[in-house]
Order: sequence, then structure tokens, then C-alpha cells
Amino acid sequence: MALLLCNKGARHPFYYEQLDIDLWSVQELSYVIYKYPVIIPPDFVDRKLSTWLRDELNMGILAAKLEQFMNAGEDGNQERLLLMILRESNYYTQAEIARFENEYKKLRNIEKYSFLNMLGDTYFRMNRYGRAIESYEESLFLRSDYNVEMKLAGTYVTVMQYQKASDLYEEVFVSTGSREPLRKLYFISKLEPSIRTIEKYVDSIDVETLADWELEYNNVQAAAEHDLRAGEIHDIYQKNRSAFREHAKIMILKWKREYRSKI
Amino acid sequence: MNRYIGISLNDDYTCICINDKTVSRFQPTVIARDKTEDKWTIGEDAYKETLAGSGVIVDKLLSLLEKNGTSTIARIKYKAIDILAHYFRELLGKDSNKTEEDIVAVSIRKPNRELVNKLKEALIKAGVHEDNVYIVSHTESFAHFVLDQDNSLFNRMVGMFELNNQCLYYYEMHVSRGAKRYVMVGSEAEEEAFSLDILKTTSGGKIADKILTTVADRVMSNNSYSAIFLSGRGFQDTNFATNFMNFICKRRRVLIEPGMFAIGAEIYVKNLAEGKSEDYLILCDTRCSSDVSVKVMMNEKLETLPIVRAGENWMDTSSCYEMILDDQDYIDFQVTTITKPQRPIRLRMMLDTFPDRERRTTRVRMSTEFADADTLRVTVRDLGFGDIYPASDMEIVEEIDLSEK
Repeated sequence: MALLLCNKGARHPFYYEQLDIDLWSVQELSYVIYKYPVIIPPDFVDRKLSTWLRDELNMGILAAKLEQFMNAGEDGNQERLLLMILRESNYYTQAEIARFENEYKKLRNIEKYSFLNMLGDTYFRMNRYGRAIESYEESLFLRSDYNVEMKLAGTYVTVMQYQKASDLYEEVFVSTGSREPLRKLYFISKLEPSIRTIEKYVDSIDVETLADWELEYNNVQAAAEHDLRAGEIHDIYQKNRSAFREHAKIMILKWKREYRSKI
Repeated sequence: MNRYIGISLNDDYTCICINDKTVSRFQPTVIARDKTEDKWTIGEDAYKETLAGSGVIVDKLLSLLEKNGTSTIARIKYKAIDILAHYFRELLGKDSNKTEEDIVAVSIRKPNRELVNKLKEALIKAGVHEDNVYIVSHTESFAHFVLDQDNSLFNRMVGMFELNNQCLYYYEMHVSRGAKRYVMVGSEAEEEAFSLDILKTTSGGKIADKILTTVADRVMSNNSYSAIFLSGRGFQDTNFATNFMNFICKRRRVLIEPGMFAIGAEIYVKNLAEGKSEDYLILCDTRCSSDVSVKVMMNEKLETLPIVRAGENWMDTSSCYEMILDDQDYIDFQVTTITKPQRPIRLRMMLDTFPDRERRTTRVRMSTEFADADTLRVTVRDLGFGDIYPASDMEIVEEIDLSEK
């Protein structure tokens, strides 16, 4: 427990493309480095970043050190540069920085397909589904993996591309005979009745399992109906129809914006 | 060569000291403007202009400034600040072709932030550079004056009586020569204040003498003083106060300096300009009496971040820091009174109404400013964590009572 003293934030932010966010302080920079090491591009610490550190955060000494190392141009420099930023930011402890160092080293040494799979997972956790799909697809291009296919299909469901998801689940079921892809196909048929892939395989599923899935779906639907946000919308509809229409317009715009930001 | 100027200002009179010399004592604080042209006169000259019928006089300038008053002369409405600016310009002789830089301290009885800012503005308008303007209290001026005297005059307690029209004040200065050398200075108004007009008659003088003796007997009791000072227009001549003088002269030295506040203010700016550090920390109505600090983490080491230092002018003391809360939803302040350094007080400011976020992702801006001499106002604002966790813009304001209880 402590208070970490900080310098004043930047007047102009540093745009971090991988996360599509603006960074305003060295602590935020350290946070994104530490939290998402997988997405750090190999040339992340460059002149643009050192100039920002110098001009916007008055961290001239750190900027000079970074530039000195960049000029040396040795292999493994990027790792040292990232560690320098973490050490100078008064944000993470030495123990945490040592952990990051180990993890970052491991990441650089794993197979490319595995790295891309982890990258997809990271983007998925950050709700960046479009980038997650790209990473999973690249991973599958290098090496086929049913687990990655399942994750890719799940990401398609999240962005409501049910046909693509259905095709992938079917492919995994045909190849592995696993029950899980079938379960997913069953739920897709509930969400999007025009996709009837499950009908081809429904005879192979026993009645009890089907009943369990139906119950599971109904429970989730009931929970969604009783969600606070659904209740609010229902209340507005009951009170005033014109207000509801106005509210609906705003909500749809908001959902569209949320959807676009996920892609 | 710079001019070091101390001005003692009240509604009744102004006293000015320039470079160690008391140039003008007890000039009436009045200003007159010529009825036909933009020509201003001050003090006795202003009275003359008015009596001659060529000028319009304005008096009680300090009160006018406090009330944000105005005065209309020759169909022109003047704000109090502008009138005072004219007054200072005439007082300092700023219209002459002198090239020296003026460093000015004005001593007033009870400075508050609003009045101080207005006085500074008036002085700046009068042509004094903003970096060379200082406002001190009479209590502080008294301290500077005494500390500039020979050490033997303040090796024990020092007392002072100030006598002006309807104004009788007693000042006291305690000196601590321990590990931390400081002086504590205070003043109090005595209820027995009287009009100086009574000194014009023998019987009135006797009454005044009796009043002063009674007051001195009460406030000084059996305390041991190294010196007693007398100041103010009423002590320009002490012949009326035989008994009082006999009383205060017992076993101690008595010094009379009617223009003490102006001289004290001049000593202050001179020391500042010459970079002389204060040998003694001054604790008075314009200075903070406590150290206030916060513990912060710097490179995994707990360090003390001073927010307020004892002896600083509270009106000029403010701070602004940005911090990240690492697994805690409060800020602990440590208040150490200079007179009781062994017993610091810890005060906790809760920030638990700020949004719950992941560890180390709540950045706050802590600003401090004095509301008055004893009240430090702390404002903490939630800044979120950039675009990762947007700011809630919530603000918590608390006041720390620094008065010694």
C-alpha cells in the first residue's frame, strides 16, 4: 500500500496503435508494456517514443539513454529498452520487472504459431475481436490446431458472424468427434434459426443431452430477460412510446459503435 | 542601486522607510485629486489642496480597498485599487526619472488573501515590479525589527506596546534557541484604547498614563523581559506617561521607535534581496506554524513529501501533486507543530468514494491551499488512468485544522 508520486501528464498523447489508445503518462506506457507484452511490436521503442518522453514528459535523461541504446543497434536491444522504461517509471517493483523480463524472454523464444495464438487470446481479452480473428487465422495458417479453431469460432460468434462460426465448429466436430462443437452448433441454431447445421447431426445426440442444452439455453435467456438494462428498456417502453423510440435510437447507435470498436 | 522600501499602512496614517532611513513618519493616509486636471497629492498636501478648494479628498483608503469601494472625483469613478495605486505612486515618487528598482513591503495589521492581492495589484499599477511586492503583518514587521537588533535585546521574552488613535496593542515575542531556532510572535488588541486627542491636555495625559500602566501591569505581570519596545504615533512623546515609563523600565531596556513597522518591513525586503537567510524561523499570523507532509513511494523507498513547511508565508503556500493510489484508498498527512516536534499528528483523508479500479490505475491530483492561517484546504480529484480508465471527475475536499489546541 502506497502513494506513487508522478510527474504531470503529457499535453499531447502518444498513440499506441496496437491498442488503439492514447497514452498520457509514463505510468500508462509502463502499464500497457507490462500488461500486454505479446502485442508489443518489435520496433516499439523508437525515436518517436523517445521524443515524446523528452518533450511531453520532461524525461530527457531516459530519452537520451534510450537513444544511446538505439544507436548501438545491438540484438535484444528492444528488451533492454522496455526494461529501462519500466525501471524509470516508478510504477512497478523490481520483482515485477524481473517477472516481466522472464515472460518477455519466453515470448520471444516460442514458435510463431503459438505466439500468434497467444496474441489472439490477448486481443480477445481486450475485446479487440477483429484483431483476435486475424491472429487466430494466421496461427491456423501456420499450423492446424482444433483448440485455436474453437477459439476462432467463438470469436466469430461474439461478432455475430454465425455462418463462419458454424462452419468451423462443424469442421472440428467432423475431425475430432468431440461433443463441444455440437453443443455450440446447437446454440447457434437457437441464436440464428436460419443456420441449421445441427440438424445433420441431431440424430447422433441423445435426448437427455439435448434436454440439458435446451435447459441451459432457456436459463441464459431468462437471465438476460431479467437483466437490469433490459428492465430499464422495458420500463421506458411502458411509460412513454415516443421516449422509447428516442431511447431506442440512442441505444442502437451505442450498440453499433460498440460493435464497430470490437471489430 | 535598489531602493528597499517598507511602508506601514492604516486608515489613519502611513509611515515609510527607504534604505534604513525613516523618510516620512505618520503622514495622513489621504489623497486628493485636482478638480480640473489629473494631478494627485497625498498627506498634508492633500489637506492643503482641499482647503484651498482645488482638490477633492479621499480618506480611509485601506477600508475603501477592503470594501471594494469607489470614489467619484470630477465626474470620474475611481475604483479603490486605482486610488491606492495613485497613492502609492505619489508616496514612492514613481513619476520621477529615477532608474533604480524598488523592492517594496507593505505592513498592515491583519492581512488576508483578498486584501493582500488587492494591495499587490495597486502597487503593481503604481509601477512596482510584481516580483518586488511583499505584504507583511505588523506582527511580522515587529519580528524582523527585533531580530535586526543586538542579540542581547531578545535573549528572553520581548514585549511591545503600540499606541495610536483608538488603538492600543500589546505584542509579545518568545525566542527558542534550541535545536531548531525560532521565534513565536503574537499580538492582542487591548480594550482600553483611547483617542490621542486626550493627550492634548494635562489631565488627559494623566488618564492615558494610568490606562497604560494598568494595561502594562496586567499583560506583563511578573514575566521576565529582555526588552520592551514602544511604537506608534502615541509614543512620539512619552512625557505624559511618567508612571507607565517607570513601570516598564524596571530591570529591562526600553526602546522607542514610532515607525517600527515600516522599518521592520524595510529590513525584511532588504534581507530578502540580499539573500540573507533568517537566523530564526518566524512563527506569526502570516506564517505557517506546522510542517505538513505525505509519505510517498519513490523507487520502492518510502519518502517524505513536504506539503507545507513551518515558517512559510501561508498566503503564498500552495502545492499540486499527482499520485497513483497503490492498493490504498486514503492519503495520510503528518502534521508536526514546530513547538511539539516529538508529537506529530497523523490525519487520514479517505478516498473510498472514488471508483473501484484495478490496482495502481487510479491517478489523483492533490492540491493544497490555505483558507486562512490555521486551515489547510486539500482537494483531491480523480483523474482515472488515461484512456484506459477514464476520469470520474469526482473531487473530495477536506480541511486540516493546523491551530494548536
